[in-house]
Amino acid sequence: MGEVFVITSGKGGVGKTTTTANIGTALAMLGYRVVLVDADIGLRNLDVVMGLENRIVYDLVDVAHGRCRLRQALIRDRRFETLYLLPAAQTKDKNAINPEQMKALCEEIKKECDYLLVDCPAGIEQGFRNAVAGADRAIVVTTPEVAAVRDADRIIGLLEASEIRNPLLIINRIRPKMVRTGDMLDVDDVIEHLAIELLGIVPDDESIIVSTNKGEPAVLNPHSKAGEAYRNISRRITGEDVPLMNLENGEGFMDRVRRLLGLRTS
Amino acid sequence: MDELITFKGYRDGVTLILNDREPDFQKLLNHLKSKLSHLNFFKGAVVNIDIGQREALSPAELDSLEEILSTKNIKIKDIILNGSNGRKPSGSKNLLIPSHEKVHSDALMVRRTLRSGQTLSHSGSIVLIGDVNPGAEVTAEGNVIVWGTLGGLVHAGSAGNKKAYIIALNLNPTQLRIAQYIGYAPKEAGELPRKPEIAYLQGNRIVIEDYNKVKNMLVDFFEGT
Repeated sequence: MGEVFVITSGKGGVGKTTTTANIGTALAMLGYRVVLVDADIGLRNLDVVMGLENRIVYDLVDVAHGRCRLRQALIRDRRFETLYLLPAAQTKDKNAINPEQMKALCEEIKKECDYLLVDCPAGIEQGFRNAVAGADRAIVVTTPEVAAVRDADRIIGLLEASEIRNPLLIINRIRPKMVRTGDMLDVDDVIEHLAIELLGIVPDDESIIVSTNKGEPAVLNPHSKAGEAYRNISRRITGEDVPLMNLENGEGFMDRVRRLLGLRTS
Repeated sequence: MDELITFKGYRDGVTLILNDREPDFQKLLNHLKSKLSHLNFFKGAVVNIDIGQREALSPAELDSLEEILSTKNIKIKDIILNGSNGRKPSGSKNLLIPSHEKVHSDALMVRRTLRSGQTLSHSGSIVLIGDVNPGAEVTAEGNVIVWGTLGGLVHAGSAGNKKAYIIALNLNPTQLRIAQYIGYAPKEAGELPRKPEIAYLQGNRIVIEDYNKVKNMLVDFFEGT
């Protein structure tokens, strides 16, 4: 019996879909059976990020309404044969399914996989309620911005109300340089405010944009910093103890000299 | 489906939690009725009702709830609303429906963190052990004491008590209200003092002071409230 994770944030654009695609792919790389469910009905894009858009025949709404069998709607990944995607419908909206249907669907899928990741839409309305309905656990994604942290806080409150305890936190798009100069909230600020367990931090990385556009999750790229962060996060999900990544590796030669001499780097 | 009705014991007494995902209030009542019929140890208790995410109870709903509870001689102390979905205007009165016949203990003690969008209100004073995050709201007809960081909106003396005060270990609210007066933190950068502070009304202004510096002077001020 697998575990259902919902990946949520409240605010849009903080990287829920990217996170879902990367964690899912990384878990499949580790050999687990993974199903990704895109719950963003009407604004689907997990299929695009995964590069599977052109294979969609049936979708989540079709399965929920019994128009097809689950197996017919699941799309197998091009790279990993233990990775599947259940795409959202694009021509419907969030009201096309209800939380009970979503819950039943998750129950059915989790019988046959190790991890089921639900990509939650932004917002706190019907789409959110659908996405969390079948979840055992939640991963809250935020960025080091006041507005995103505020929304994450709201979401954590709503998750508690939905009886999903102990959500895990991912802080996405950290820019170590800005944190160092005091222009960006640092990891400790965010954790102190939200007071939930940290699952991982992901540096801001231009390679994410490239990989998203190509439909190749960044975890496949051994040189991507963000990809490495997501691989670490996935290992933590499986229970492995992986230390947080050092984001300061990008220091220049002079920085290193200063550090070796015991001087503070600016 | 989760339990429709849950009883939970907290330090301030028993709280009866009504499942907010059940839209049919009558169904909840029927369930409560049958549950109470074979439970006797709550007899004569005073309970809080947690109505979770649902809107405030209508007077009719409250009446029928009281009626069922009264068969076991259970009294309602307060109604707790968890997340008002941000739809209510701040400070709105119907978050809590005070009822005149009910005996209120003066203070409600709560051990939790209020997150953005969550509200807590009470007809007496509130003592909250935990943080009030930005976007959360605390409303009390009496005083508000927060053993933690107060970052949201807080209203003390909401029924007009000008002697009401607000104390927090870390007073950093988005907005402060005492009686009908509103104050907000000056938008100055820099670290806030990490020490307990008190906010109270001086004339028609809300002032904030280091609690330890003024606590002795304040005795006179609050005496006779």
